[in-house]
Amino acid sequence: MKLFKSSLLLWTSLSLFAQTNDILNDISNDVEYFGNIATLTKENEHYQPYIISVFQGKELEKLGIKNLQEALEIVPGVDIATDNVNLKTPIFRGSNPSAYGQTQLFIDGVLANNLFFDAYSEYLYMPIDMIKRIEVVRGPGSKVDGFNAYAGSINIITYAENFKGFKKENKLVFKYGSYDYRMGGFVSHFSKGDLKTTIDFSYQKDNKSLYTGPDGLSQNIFGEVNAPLSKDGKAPLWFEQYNLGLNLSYKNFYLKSRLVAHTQGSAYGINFALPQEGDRVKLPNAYVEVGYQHPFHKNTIDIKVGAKYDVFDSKSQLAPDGLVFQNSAGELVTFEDGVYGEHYAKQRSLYQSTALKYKDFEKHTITGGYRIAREETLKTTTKLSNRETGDGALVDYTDTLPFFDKNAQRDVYNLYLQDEFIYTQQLSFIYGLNYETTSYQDAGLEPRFSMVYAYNANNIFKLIYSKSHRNPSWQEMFTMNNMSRVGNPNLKPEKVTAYEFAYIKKLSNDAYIQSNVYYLVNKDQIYNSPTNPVYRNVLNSDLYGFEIEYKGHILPNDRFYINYSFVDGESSLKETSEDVDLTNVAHNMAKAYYIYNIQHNISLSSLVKYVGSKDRAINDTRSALDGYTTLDFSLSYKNTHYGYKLLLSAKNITNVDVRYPSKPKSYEDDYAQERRNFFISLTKEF
Amino acid sequence: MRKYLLLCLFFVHSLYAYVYNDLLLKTQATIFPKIILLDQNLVDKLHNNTVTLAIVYEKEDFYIAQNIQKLIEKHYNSLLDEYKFHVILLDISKIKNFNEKVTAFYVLHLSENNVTEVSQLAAEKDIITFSYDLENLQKGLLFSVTIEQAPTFYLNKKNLYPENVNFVPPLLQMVKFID
Repeated sequence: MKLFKSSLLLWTSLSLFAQTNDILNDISNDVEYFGNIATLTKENEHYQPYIISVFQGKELEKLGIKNLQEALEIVPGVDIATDNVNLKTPIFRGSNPSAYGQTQLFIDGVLANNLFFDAYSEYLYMPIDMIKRIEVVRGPGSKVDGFNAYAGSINIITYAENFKGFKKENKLVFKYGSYDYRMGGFVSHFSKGDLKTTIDFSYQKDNKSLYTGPDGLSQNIFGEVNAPLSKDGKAPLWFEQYNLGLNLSYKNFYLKSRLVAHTQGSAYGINFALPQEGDRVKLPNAYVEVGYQHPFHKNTIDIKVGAKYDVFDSKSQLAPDGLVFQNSAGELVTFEDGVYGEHYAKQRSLYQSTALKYKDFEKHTITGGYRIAREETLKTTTKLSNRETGDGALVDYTDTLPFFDKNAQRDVYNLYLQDEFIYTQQLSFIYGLNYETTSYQDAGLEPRFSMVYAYNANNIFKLIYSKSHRNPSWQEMFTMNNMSRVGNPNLKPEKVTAYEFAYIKKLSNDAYIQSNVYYLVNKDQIYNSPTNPVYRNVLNSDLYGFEIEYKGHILPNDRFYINYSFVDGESSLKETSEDVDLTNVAHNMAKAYYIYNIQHNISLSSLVKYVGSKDRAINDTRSALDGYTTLDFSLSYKNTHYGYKLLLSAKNITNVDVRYPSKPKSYEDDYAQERRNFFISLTKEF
Repeated sequence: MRKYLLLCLFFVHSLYAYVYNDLLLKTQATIFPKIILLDQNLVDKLHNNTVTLAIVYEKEDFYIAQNIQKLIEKHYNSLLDEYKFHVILLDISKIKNFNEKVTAFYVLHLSENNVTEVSQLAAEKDIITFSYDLENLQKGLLFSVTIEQAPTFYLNKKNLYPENVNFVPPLLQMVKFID
């Protein structure tokens, strides 16, 4: 009997032990599952080995943010610049504001920068309603797996991201606003067995035109003789865009694709002469990436192949009626009906990459792989009014005076290796190397080291050292026969060495202060000017500054966010050995928003942005560009019964004159942006 | 005019809803019920062989509480290991008259006074307490999960009332203690 009792006790104990173990294993699996989601969704952003700010699409919607550009304007240290074709680009920490490819845009992990400009101006119009989350990394330390983020990277996560147990949201959105802005779009999910599909689509357009001028002719851009032809008037800043995203997954395979058909007004003219209302630039961009992820043990192999197409397609009046110009025989020709042009260049990028993530060594996650890419121009067309006779009718100069090198082609090979070493729960390191060679100038070997030290749950420190580069863009290398931009195939990559230190104070589950200081050494930055339009590696600049941001609450029912950034430094032109202060850069910026949840379904919000004054470029005699402060208000209502949301938003409510700097000797009064404007949005969720 | 504005603010403030972190809620809603099973004195906390988890909320968070209730019910399908599992909602304003036998409280964001009230009741009735806010462990609640690099467990040893809440030792090796 005693033996039986002992056996029963032992059996019960073993059974309980086994049961407890099962529960603990189950909990460990939950911790791993939610930990992975936290990493993928950057919920644990403070522990990531770079300087990152994360913004949720739904929160941005409440603020009346309409699109990606407006969202980026909130990010610490980020300003927006534009050019004569109204190609807008975010400037991170004041890094080379006249270049486009300083930052990289990834949509669901796919690089979206176009090849022609290395820009993503067309994606800045992407409606916020199609964006689940925006992760903005400042500094070059964000990417090592075959990509090179120079001043920073922007990761757009669409609603295609989904995790088991989380709601899949379908929605329908309509917007209407100032400048006859109209938008309609939807997000939809389908699943059948292992096949999961997400489609997002949006169509939007407006008829915006803003008063500008006098144009570049007043600055003798076509010579003194043509200065009287200078005009002022309304610059065509309208746009129309279709944006279709399709993401599929089936077992371990996935497909990510997007097609953007973007057309916009010719803005301030590709030669700085005010164009006609209907003149336009088309910037279509499309990509498709197919991948296979093979998990084994704790490890993964990720194989990708992809293609990306982009086009620059301009049809515009290039100079006004009566322009006098010298033909090839040296005779002065008068273009009685003006000068017209059609410029077309179609590019393709093909790439393949393989990455192995190996976790079988205790405390180490080793990632290694390669990425190979071929970038090329497929077709160019150049048509202009007759340069010899002054006749307005178009003549095909594609073979004789092309605006672009039709044989442009570059191969890029990239190898990388990185180790993530979790030394203790408190202390982790990431170190790695990138090696890149191209069919033009090489970037070579670039190291990266970062350390994250969590002193405790509320105090986290980061130290980052990284080197990175930006390859010259297509237009910087291959533009030809153009007065304002002359390509140079011998350009070297721009290079940056970054030293960053961050401190994060977590105040609660959802409140924190994040601060960082940085020092960036930029070498061989690419520069041109109206007086010497050839792109050259002649600019060196040292940048230093700090950023501080707070996210949290004032009351339990609100959300408050504020940031301040400061940047300073020196630039020097190698050719003149002249040291100058940073130009076209706002040294001080502050952004803040406040969302007050009146009820669980009604919120009022305000958004304030301050951008400080900007010093002028070298040899630009204009006085500094004034800073500005804008204020937006929005009211959001959600009907939980019928599942719809209504949003009213008033932007730049104090009607402030916001201007982005123009190049010297072009538009003397800079580029005016929209004043007070409104929009209304209706969203149905189902 | 000023009085009117203050009145409006008071009225508006009385209707607030706290802003919760979606991933944290899901993590907690998935893990907390499993932690209940690791109490070696669980049998004493059952009623009709049923584990009852009460979500304690302030009335403005009713919709959030309801969503969590649905989430847990969907995840566990009324069964927690070998026990029936019942998730109920408990408006903090009704806690004084609350007489049901519950196994655990899942306490959402509450004002400080309400947290104290819940923790006192839990101590009296040997109820396990889980907190959405980590800070509330210092105000008398027992257990919380936060998202650091990965989900991290926190426990306030002082609130264990060891004779009645007695977690298995391996769990205690997984948690970080708060004094």
